[in-house]
Amino acid sequence: MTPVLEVRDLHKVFGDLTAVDGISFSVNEGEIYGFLGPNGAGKTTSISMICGLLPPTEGEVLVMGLSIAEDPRGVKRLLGVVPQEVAVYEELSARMNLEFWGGIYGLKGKALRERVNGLLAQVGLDDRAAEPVKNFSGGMKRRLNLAMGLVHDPQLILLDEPTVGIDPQARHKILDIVKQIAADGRTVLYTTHYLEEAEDLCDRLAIIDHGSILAEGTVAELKAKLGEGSLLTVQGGFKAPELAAAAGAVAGLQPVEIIDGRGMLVVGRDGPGVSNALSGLFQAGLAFDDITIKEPNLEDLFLNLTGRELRD
Amino acid sequence: MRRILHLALHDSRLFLARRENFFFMFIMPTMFMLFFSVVLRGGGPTDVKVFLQVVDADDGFLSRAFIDQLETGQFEVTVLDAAAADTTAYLRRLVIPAGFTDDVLAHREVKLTLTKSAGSDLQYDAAAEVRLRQVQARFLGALVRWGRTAPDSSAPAAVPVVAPADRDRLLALLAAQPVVTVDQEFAGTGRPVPSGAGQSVPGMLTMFMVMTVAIGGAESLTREKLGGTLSRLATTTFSRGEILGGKLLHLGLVAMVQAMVLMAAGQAIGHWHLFGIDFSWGPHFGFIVLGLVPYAFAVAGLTLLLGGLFRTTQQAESLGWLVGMVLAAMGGCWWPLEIMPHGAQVAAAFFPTYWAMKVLHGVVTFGHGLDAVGLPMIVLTIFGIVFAWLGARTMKVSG
Repeated sequence: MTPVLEVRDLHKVFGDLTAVDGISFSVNEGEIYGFLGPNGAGKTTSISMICGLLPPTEGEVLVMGLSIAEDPRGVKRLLGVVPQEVAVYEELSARMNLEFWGGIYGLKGKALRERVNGLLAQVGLDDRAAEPVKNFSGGMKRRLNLAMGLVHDPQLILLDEPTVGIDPQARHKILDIVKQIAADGRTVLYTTHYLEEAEDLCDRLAIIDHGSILAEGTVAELKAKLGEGSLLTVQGGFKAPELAAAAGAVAGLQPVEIIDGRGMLVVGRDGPGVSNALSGLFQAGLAFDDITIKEPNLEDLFLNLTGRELRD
Repeated sequence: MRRILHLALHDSRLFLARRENFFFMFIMPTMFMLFFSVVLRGGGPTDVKVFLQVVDADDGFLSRAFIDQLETGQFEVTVLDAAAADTTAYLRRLVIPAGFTDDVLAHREVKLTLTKSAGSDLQYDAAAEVRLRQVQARFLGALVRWGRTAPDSSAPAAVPVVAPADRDRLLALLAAQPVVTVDQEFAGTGRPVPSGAGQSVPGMLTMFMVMTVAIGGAESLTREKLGGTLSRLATTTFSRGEILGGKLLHLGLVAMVQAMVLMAAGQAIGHWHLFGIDFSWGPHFGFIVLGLVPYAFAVAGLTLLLGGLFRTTQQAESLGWLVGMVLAAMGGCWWPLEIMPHGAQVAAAFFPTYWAMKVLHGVVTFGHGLDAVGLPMIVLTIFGIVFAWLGARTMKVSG
């Protein structure tokens, strides 16, 4: 089966800066594919190349087999883009905004009215449809921003951080709508720097930083890269080499990050167990002020892959 | 083309949805046009008296009659005797030589001398000359009708004697409807300087076409650029050319709507003689519209360029005003170009407002037709092409 989106060795260079450094991935029909990475990782630049806003320095983008370079109009007809900024006309009503964008794609008459009514209901703005958008809350504007990308019923929807700057309730609403879109058979490429969103929403994820994909897979597959087991975080007055040496002496204890005074270690499920691991560290003469034990998550994976936290 | 029109109409609806644009397009320009027409009404030497100092070295009954005629001929006359003349400053001075009355009665040639000081106004000097000719013709006409025969040339030293009844008859002839009148009309390359509503109505129209579009349009383009709607448009099936074409068409439409609003306002002012203002667009209304179309294109292109250059909406608002003001001043929208220094008059040709004013003055003030709009239309189209090209290169559509 042809993937809905196929990205091959995509590069983007601005002068001395390599914003995107050879990313490749594909997204299948009905899938929500996440791009997880911090600000400046290259997510928006990648989206911009995929939707034809920026020409790639190198590489290829195929949407349902069509190349954006060779048939931009054909590809754009299949795309619905929801930009990171709320790109709406504030003076117009929600209905007028949707009618305009529908008209851009050639929708008119009854078909346009029905589509607009359906979308307004779907994003929960049907009771405020005639009001100027400038009166809306941030969450309502975000929902309209999303609806505007869906008005022509595209095959592939590119969502660039659609929940930035809104409250948890409004975010929850948007995530529900995205899930519904995917459930209706549409394909979604979703960029975010929120771990919880990525874990909750995405069927598959790519962790991206400095323009490169560091890891890709389902959430379970990515977590498994840290090894199954528990994540042990210790803090105290030790030096990094002391903890590294002590951890190396305990079989099945894998260091994730160790710095002076702080260490993160994975205790494998087939390893010594948390109690034995800690005993091993104590026997090495180390003392700790704080010990945390938890299941590893994507944040830990990101830290493991990049040496820094996602929100740095 | 349908897609470009779709975009242009949407942008125009958006433009009018902003209350401030509605004010700038309909209320403010109309008020300005009316205000300046009232303020400049009756300006220029056509309706006012021209100062004239008269040195009456003759002090005879004919010189006094001539001075009376000057006063009824729209001159503000100050009479001096020959002794005071040397110490008195003047703008314009007419010298009636000693022996004027006797020489006229004796049918001898007499020379009147009109002198202008360096500081006198050229327009008023020209008016003084024309009015002096009118008085001269009227005076000579009366003398001819008076019908006194020439004295015997063999006795040149004899002083003609005029009886009081005969003098009264001459004065009555001077007061009567003249047989000969001199009408004034500019000929050749000389042209009257537009004044009153003839200057302010075309000036305000030209100025507000550029002001409304440059300020509102550039602000709107900058807002779209910053707000992301412009780059969002670029993610649709619309090409960059279609997007910029739609923007240009919208801006041109706004400019033409502004022109129509002010043409209607000018028509209303002239039709109802509001505040006593006299104005007419003249018989070639179609040529005015025709000439303003390339001006609207030039204004649209310029606005696209400004929208591409401005980085913030504050810049667009403040610099948009500045650009509009400079264009209006340099193009002759506020005052007639004829009163500007020579260098400024040469520089004016590099501003589209100058060519728009050329269209309007050519058709409205001088009553010309296609011959007045042909060259300005070509120049304005070139302005439009250059501005639009630069604007298209400058405007960042893709975020």
